Amino acid sequence: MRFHLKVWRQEGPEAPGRFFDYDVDDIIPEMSLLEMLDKLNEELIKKGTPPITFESDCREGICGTCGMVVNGSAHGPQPKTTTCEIRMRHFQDGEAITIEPFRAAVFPVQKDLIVERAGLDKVIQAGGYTSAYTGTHADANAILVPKDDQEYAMDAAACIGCGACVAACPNSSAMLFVAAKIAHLGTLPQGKPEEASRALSMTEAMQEEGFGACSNHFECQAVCPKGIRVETIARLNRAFLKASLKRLA
Amino acid sequence: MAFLSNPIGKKMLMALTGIVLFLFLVAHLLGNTTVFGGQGWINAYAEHIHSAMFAPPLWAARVVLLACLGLHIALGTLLFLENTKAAPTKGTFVTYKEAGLSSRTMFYTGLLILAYLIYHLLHFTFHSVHASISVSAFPPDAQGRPDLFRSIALSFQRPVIAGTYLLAMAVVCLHTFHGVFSSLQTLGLPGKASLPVLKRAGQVLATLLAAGFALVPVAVLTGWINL
Amino acid sequence: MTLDGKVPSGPIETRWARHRDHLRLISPANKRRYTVIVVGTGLGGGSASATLAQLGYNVLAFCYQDSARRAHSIAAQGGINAAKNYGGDGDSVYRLFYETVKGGDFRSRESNVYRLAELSGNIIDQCVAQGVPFQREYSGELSTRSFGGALVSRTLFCRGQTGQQLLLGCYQAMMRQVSEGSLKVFPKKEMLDLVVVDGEAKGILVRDLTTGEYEAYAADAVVIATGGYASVFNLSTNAVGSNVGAIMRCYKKGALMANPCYTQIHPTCIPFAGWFQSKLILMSESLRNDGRVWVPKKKGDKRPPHEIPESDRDYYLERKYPSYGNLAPRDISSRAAKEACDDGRGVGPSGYAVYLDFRDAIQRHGRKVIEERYGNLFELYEHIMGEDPYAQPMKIYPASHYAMGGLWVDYNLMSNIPGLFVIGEANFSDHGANRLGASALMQGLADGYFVLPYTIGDYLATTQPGKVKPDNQEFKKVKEDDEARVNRLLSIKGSRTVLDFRIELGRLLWENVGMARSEETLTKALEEIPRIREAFWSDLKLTGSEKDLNQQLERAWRLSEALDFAEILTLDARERRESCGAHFRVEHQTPDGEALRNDAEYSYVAAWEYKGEGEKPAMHKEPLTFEVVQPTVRSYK
Ligand SMILES: Cc1cc2nc3c(=O)[nH]c(=O)nc-3n(C[C@H](O)[C@H](O)[C@H](O)COP(=O)(O)OP(=O)(O)OC[C@H]3O[C@@H](n4cnc5c(N)ncnc54)[C@H](O)[C@@H]3O)c2cc1C
Ligand code: HEM
Ligand code: FES
Repeated sequence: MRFHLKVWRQEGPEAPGRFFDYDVDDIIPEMSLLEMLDKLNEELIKKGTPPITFESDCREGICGTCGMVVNGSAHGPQPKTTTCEIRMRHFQDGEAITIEPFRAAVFPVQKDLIVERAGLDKVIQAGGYTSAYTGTHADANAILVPKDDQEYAMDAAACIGCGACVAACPNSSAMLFVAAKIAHLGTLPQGKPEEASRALSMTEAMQEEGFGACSNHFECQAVCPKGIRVETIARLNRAFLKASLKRLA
Repeated sequence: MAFLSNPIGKKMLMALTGIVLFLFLVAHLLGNTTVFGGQGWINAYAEHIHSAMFAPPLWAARVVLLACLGLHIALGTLLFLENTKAAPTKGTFVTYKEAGLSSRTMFYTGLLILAYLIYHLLHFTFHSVHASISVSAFPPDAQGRPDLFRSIALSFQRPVIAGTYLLAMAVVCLHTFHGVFSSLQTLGLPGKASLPVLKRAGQVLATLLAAGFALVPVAVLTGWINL
Repeated sequence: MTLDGKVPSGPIETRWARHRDHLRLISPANKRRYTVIVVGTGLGGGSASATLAQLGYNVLAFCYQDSARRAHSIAAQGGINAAKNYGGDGDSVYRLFYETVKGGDFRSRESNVYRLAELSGNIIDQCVAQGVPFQREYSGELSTRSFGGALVSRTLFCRGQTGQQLLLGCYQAMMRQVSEGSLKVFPKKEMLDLVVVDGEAKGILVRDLTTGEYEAYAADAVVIATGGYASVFNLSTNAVGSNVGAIMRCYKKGALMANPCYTQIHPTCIPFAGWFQSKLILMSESLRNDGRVWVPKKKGDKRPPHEIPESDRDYYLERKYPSYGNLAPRDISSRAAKEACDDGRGVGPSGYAVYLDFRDAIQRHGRKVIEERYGNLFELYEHIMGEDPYAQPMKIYPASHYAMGGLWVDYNLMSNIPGLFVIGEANFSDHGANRLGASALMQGLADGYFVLPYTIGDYLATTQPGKVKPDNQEFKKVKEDDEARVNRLLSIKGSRTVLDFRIELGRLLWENVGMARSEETLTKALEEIPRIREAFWSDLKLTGSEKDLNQQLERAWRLSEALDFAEILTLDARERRESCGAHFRVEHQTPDGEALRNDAEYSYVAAWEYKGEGEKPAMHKEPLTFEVVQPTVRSYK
């Protein structure tokens, strides 16, 4: 297979960026998109051109390191897929593919396709945890958790923190990211006690870091590689409302 | 204040004020339907609304509405500015999957509604535009009531005015097409199963509302309603 | 050098408790005067930094990813063991201990393993308190399953994302400490070197991966938790960034490297498809609970699987190991797959794959149950291979996966360099010659939550806090050395890329130091490695500069260390003239092809000491004694 690539290149955070055109050939359908870039990079290095800088680590869709906008969609056009999971057989031979970095004011481009995503860590620092100390706890079975709750928590906990939701959101909001954490912890008895303060502090931190607010566009849900649903956002809104009322009282 | 400085807090107030405005529109539409009863009905309705007996609660409602509108506009503008700052660009080749025209144009449709609102008030409430066909330009009807019916009919017989109103209703439709469901989502109503249902219901409601309003100029233009 | 494992004596059941009771303590008020560096934010490093920070130490944590949450522990799928006996099938601390010692083919320290088994239950309690959503039954109680060569059901799991959920537990605990101010996380900073002052580990030198700047960090103790070295085989289940650099630099600063030849090849991975591949993806071993492994009986049988009748199928694991069947331990299953393929009975385009078939399980339990158990794994498979595993069997093949070897540590998890602690996969401690499924997560968390936080205090209590500052001469020297090495890499200006060399090395190791090793292949590898290294140092081509985000440079640095490491790995494999666990020497096998241990001569930990560039490292032996479990022939028949 062969492809025509348009890849965003930018030397540093301050430097201006633009698209560069590359033709790649001899691509095997089993190759992943990143393996195609690896191959292109090998050719670039041999020519003495700096290779395209992009991030990845696990290359199996779980660490959340990779992340680019492929053909206008965060993590590419296929649903429930991370960039590293994209296989070339999903494209048409000869197709033009555009690749650019995640875009958001809170995700400044560091180089080529790499963006800085520390804002997401900051949001978790604001309360995305249970305050359980390490030490002796009650037996894990001491508090029963209804299976449905556990499944629901797990659905939300599947978030890989890749930031695709932010990249796709026209407001660069991190609501789905926050909502997933709130839903994960708030559904479990262990996380429930701190739910109110968590909902307030995480959303405040989200704003402070420079993420936008949610306008319910639902682009986040469309690109989330782990299929996290916007109903978690409704749940977060409820938690926020309850917390605000409690604070008022 | 902490509530308002929170991004969800702001949105909740947006949603609440939006719903109030929407409910007002629903009430307004119900009132408008009297026009189909003919001159007698609508003129009676108009007089009834204006009669002294209803004045204080009506004024209270107006104040609430105005406050809601003010808040809605102020917060909408603030959110718009904040969100634009957070997302100066979304890249060069953006494809939207779930966000429609409606959700992406809320601020602009909002501004158009505001413009329309001013025009609409100047037209039917203050009679300062199209004065020659405003209520104050006509003698009272047979029962001595202001002849609103005549004013409506003559206004909408002019294609430019009717067209403006129809366009405005399209804009209202666009705004509420996303807005109705969005406000429910913001208030945390939907659950897993109800979310798609509510979304569809909101869109249907918004369309019906705008269509209801649009029916009046259409009826006049087509001669269904005439003097 | 004498290796003192500091292993307590007395009844094994109370060794850890008694040992812990006699560790020195630091007063709560004094703790914050001590700074501890933790390199790595996986299950080992993550749990350790959160716990140390919570205890009051001033902790600095480093990782090369852009967030602590992305450490490769995140990729663990299958589960974590705990001797809770939730399955009600007679599990106990003793049984977990026994199986782990036996699974490791009697090449681990009994005391360490016992402690691990003992702590396994606490880990689960801890994780549940953190909000880890382990799978539950309709009763609301925790579910367990049997996993990777265990006869009891003791593995807890979160769908196919157990590592992710456990790591997020650690990460969130870390973030909490960050907000409390006792922990600082430094992402995108790669440890280049260990700084040893007066014989004690007192800091590290890092390179900021964004700016390329060198930065020195001083501390009162250094904890290494940088994961395993399976990536030296190039294609492995590890992350593309996983590397042996940090532990190699410690080795070069005097820490001993223990049992580097113990590398685990995981039996159920997506098969090799070509050298363009950047990694091999693991399909959780839990699949073997319901999937049946087979190959055609006839060589070169190219019929599609559903056309091969029952009578022409060889369910070789069930045939050879009737009592464990498809659940035979990893080393055994991997070798059996290799044998079948070497015999010409492999399937798939390359002939290097075997079937993992769910037909019978789907018939027995229905598609819905199978979907519930493995839905996401099936999806993953279909995604990558473009084939529907509900309709046709999966194709799998072994891949390099885990490192049992690592830096040598004593019972306190401290290396032979005082102040240098090593936890998680980076150390050699608990798994002997082969690790059982679902026990690496357990070990990483036991080390970080429940062992190191106690034992590190014992060392810190002997040192003056803040003794060494980053302006110490030693930091300057290390920086000069490393800068020179980086510049040397950049100045070669040859013609071959880092990846080129990485593939060459990986291929050499896979073919000669992989699942079956012999004197001949090992000797060959020992001749080839220096040749590749020389070519690397004379013909490497890099672009870009030092003071920049330069990924090629990062990879070149890591590979340069892997090249040195490969040599010790191979040397260790050659010197260990026996087969044990995952280390299979073809000269040492039973008549029916099983590993043949030689306890009389090789019942020891081989710990290698660096002797300088180009010098042969020296081997030190820590004898292994077995007081509780008597070494027997490990039989899974
Ligand atoms: C695909 C896969 C599936 C697995 N499944 C299971 C399972 O089901 N059950 C089980 O028990 N075990 C499983 N394992 C094994 C287990 O996941 C690992 O052994 C364990 O998670 C290792 O944890 P760790 O903390 O030691 O290292 P890692 O999680 O690998 O973390 C290493 C850390 O070190 C950092 N680092 C490395 N080098 C440097 C440097 N030079 N400078 C700064 N930072 C550095 C990295 O950034 C990272 O934070 C699996 C392993 C893999 C690969
Ligand atoms: C009768 C008139 C109006 C009605 C019925 C109405 C209704 C609504 C509703 C229901 C919402 C959804 C709130 C939510 O998402 O939670 C909304 C959002 C919005 N409205 Fe209005 N509105 C009206 C007028 C206006 C006007 C005059 C403006 C002027 C700027 C405006 C600007 C906005 C904006 C910007 C949003 C989106 C906020 C966001 O999601 O970020 N609206 N409106
Ligand atoms: S590289 Fe880990 S999710 Fe893509």
